[in-house]
Amino acid sequence: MWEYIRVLSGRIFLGIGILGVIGLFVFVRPKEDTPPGRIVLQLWQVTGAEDIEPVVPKWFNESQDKIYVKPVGLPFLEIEQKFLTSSVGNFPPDLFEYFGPVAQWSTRGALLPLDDFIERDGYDRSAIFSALWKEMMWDGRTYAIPTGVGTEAFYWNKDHFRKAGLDPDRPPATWDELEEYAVKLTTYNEDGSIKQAGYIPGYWGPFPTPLFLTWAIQKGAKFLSEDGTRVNLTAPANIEALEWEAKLFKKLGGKKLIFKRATFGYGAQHGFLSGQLSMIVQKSSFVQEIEKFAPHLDYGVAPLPIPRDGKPATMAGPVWIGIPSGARHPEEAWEYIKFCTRADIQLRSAKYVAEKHLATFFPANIKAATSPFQMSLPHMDVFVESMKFAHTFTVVPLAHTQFWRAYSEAWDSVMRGEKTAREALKQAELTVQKALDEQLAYNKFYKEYLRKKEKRAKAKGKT
Amino acid sequence: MSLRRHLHKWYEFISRREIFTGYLFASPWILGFFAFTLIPIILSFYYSFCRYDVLRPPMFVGFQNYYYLLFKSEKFYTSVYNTLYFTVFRVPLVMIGSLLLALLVATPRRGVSLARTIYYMPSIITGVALSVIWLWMYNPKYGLINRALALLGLPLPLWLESPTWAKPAIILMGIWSIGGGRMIVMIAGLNSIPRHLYESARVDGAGWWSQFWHITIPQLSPTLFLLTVVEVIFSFQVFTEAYIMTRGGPLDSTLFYNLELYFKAFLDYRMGEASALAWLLFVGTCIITLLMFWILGRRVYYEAERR
Amino acid sequence: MNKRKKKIRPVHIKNAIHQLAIWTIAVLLLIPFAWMVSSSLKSPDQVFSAHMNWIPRPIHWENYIKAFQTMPVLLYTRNTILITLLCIIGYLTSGSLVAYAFSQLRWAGRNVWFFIMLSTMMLPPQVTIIPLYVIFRNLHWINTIKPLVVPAYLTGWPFFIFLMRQYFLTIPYELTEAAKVDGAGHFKIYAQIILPLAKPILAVVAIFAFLLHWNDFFGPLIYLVDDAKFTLALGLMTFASKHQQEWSILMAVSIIMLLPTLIVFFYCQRYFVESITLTGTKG
Repeated sequence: MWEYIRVLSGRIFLGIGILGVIGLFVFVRPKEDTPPGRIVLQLWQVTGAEDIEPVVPKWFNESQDKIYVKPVGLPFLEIEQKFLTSSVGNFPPDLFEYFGPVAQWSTRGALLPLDDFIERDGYDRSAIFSALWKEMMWDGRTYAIPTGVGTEAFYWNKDHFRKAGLDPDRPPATWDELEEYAVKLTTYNEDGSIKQAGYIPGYWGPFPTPLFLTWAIQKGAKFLSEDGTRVNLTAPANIEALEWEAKLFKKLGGKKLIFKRATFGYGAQHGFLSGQLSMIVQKSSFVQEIEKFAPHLDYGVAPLPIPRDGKPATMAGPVWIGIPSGARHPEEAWEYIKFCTRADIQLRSAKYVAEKHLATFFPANIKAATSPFQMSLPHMDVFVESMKFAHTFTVVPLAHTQFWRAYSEAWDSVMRGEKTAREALKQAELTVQKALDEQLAYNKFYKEYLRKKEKRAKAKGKT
Repeated sequence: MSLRRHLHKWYEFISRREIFTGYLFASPWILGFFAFTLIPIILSFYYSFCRYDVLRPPMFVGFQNYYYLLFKSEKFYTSVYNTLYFTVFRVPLVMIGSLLLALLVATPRRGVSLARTIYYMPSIITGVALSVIWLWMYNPKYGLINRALALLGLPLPLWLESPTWAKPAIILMGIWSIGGGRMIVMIAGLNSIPRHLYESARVDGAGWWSQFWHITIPQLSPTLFLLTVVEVIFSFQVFTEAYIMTRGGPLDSTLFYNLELYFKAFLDYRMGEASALAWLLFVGTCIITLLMFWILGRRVYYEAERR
Repeated sequence: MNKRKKKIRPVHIKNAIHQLAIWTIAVLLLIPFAWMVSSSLKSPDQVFSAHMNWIPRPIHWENYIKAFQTMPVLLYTRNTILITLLCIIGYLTSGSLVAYAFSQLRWAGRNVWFFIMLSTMMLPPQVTIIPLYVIFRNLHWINTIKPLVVPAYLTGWPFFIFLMRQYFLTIPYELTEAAKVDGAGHFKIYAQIILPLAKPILAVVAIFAFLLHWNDFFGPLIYLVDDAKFTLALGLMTFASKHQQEWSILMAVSIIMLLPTLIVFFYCQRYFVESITLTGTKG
């Protein structure tokens, strides 16, 4: 009897399953949402950190009736690879919005130069923060337009300052002060492990985001020679900056600091948000994360401390939009780019995002970024001000990823005390230089190839 | 005797026709091989002699990629060392672990089918979910493992944050996640062992160890061999865990071969060097597999090859 | 009553130890799951609480609701089932044919082809991605499910053939020989003798194939363009990359994705149990 029930119930269950699957195929159909008679453009972008509906395409689609922009959100870790394969297969999207280095694509001819459009339509470059343009350019041409920006600033926990007897409204202004405060703010458990860290060099969040360039840039470091052929990581500025960080790392606990860092997590367990870390360098949209995960945190935002002989600097990462080469409707795509970088549209989306209390949108358009509304947002003045001395991340355009990898590895090994700053940087320099040399040769080969191809096309045209 | 000769004659006759039948039966694979495998292989072989970033045309550089990898690149040897370390520890552990599991639940008895399901369940988690949950398990402070170790008063390693412990951590995770899957194949093998062998052994008074050693292992040898070969090949290709959990760090301690290959191909866009890496791995794997066939394969006992 | 007083025999102790071992290991293997489920029902604060709490108070079911709301789960499930089913059928039909050729047939070049097949398993998939994409592009297959399904019919995953072939080799040769003597053709032998005997390995391959394609997000990511064609794994990956700060939701999402796999496995598991008696009697 029991056996019978078991088999029967199994059968019934299976039947329901099969019916369910059939039902899925009969009733679930994709929604057809593209209106007929319009040119449809695919816009690939990274799915936002929050569930923001991509409103700008919607507004664009409502503003006219010839072009329809269809946004496709893709996972952050894989979007580059998808873009790469589609570019190789000559099946790219019509628009690509991303925040990675433009040079990855522009130096390889995967993006369309926009200068002709810019010239023809009198597109005003000065409407956008000038610091961002360097990242968009390669070999004298423009390959993308910045739509938004994230910049970095110094955050500190005012309660911790009070407890340590420091003035909560006076963040460290110099490296020496940062060092001094960090020591004062670090407290220990009975077993000697760190209870509250004053500062952890290089700690950003759960994902290792190496932001180690700022200190060196403050010292005046240049990473590449003027003509772009020599990598220079072993200049005194680079070495001194790294040595200082390593010294600080060791002074604040070294291995203990690594352990402490490893206990930090995501969301509310971020070191700074959970109140276990007093000072941190973070991006401008960190303000919203604090609001979300630690609304009662009493904190301040200021520009980064600078060395005695240095000048202020900050890193800024632009979000940009470009047209892949091989896209079928560049003219229409350009219309969308113009639309989404307009001051009024940028302000409108900034307002929309702020209303929804989601991650900030920091417009790349100066007029939108400095509008009274935007400036009324918390700490926005600091971020806008810092755009004056902002630098973009791509310092060796032709060998960006190798640079990034080699530099962060050098950084890590110096912090862990495995190598001296000079040794590590020298090794990184050699690696990057080799990559750069190869890329230069490859670039030359590519230019030659293009010239030949053009010649052949011309010859064909004549006959 | 005459029957046997008769059979043999039949067999001769049929086997001549099996050339056609053989190719016919194998045609799906042969077709697929030519369509989707051979061309990419040839292309990647060509690319391995080029500087090639995929977006621009390949530039022929001769043996430069190979030369660089074999004689100039520290990272290459780091990744080879890490991968060998991983394989040498993981394969035996997975084999022994999954055989133990299979032996525990191979014979039908009370509760066995539920236990089997439970043993298999970890294999269902793959990719990102697997890595995420184990990142969480290995968290030095909040992770389950260190919480348990703390209760026992043992020292708390930094696991994925420590150059010494990161590889063992990934191996341990692999055993959890793959043991049950391999167990199923072992059970299929165990259950195809003819029962009468055990019966006659028991009649002869053989103990369970003797039965295990003289019947189970030889009879299971095709399965064991197959799994070892596959496990070695898969271990050589370890990728996702390290890609998501450690990105090769700390201090390159989990920089496995395919991770290095992936970084070259899809981070640095050095498809030429990546192809060269792939070919070196390919040749290495072939040699090791051939060695395995040569050394271990001879000890394998096949029913069908008694012919 | 008398039964209880029965002397404890060594067999009983052995059984008890056996049972103990079985269930200790089971519990050990299950702990991460329990933790996963428990984490999926927690708020971020609870996830990182200093105390280990297995049952969160209050329970945060909304993590699951949130997971369901942010994407068309049903549509993605449909797409995924379609691809997965088609692939499983492919592996079971053409894969077993090829395995038959490599185990039961003797033909010139068999060993060479077999060796080639084995070697293709050793090729790191990362290098063939780009050339393959170009091939599929030239076939105009991008943005269709063909690049994901057709290779299954052309046995794009030689591991399965390898598995089946090894199993076919253990099938007693006398069986097929006898059929040949009776004048049966190879297709008949394949369909009527080998396949029924090979049910366990076919089930194993089906499960493996199911898992492979159910969880594969890489193929769909590269070959599908319209989000209406996306699969569950790809959708969930996208979701995960949005919510990577929130462990609890990530766990909830993973569990949603696991459930169908678990159900399928429970069914196949029952099938295993039955097939054991089948194969146990032979030989």
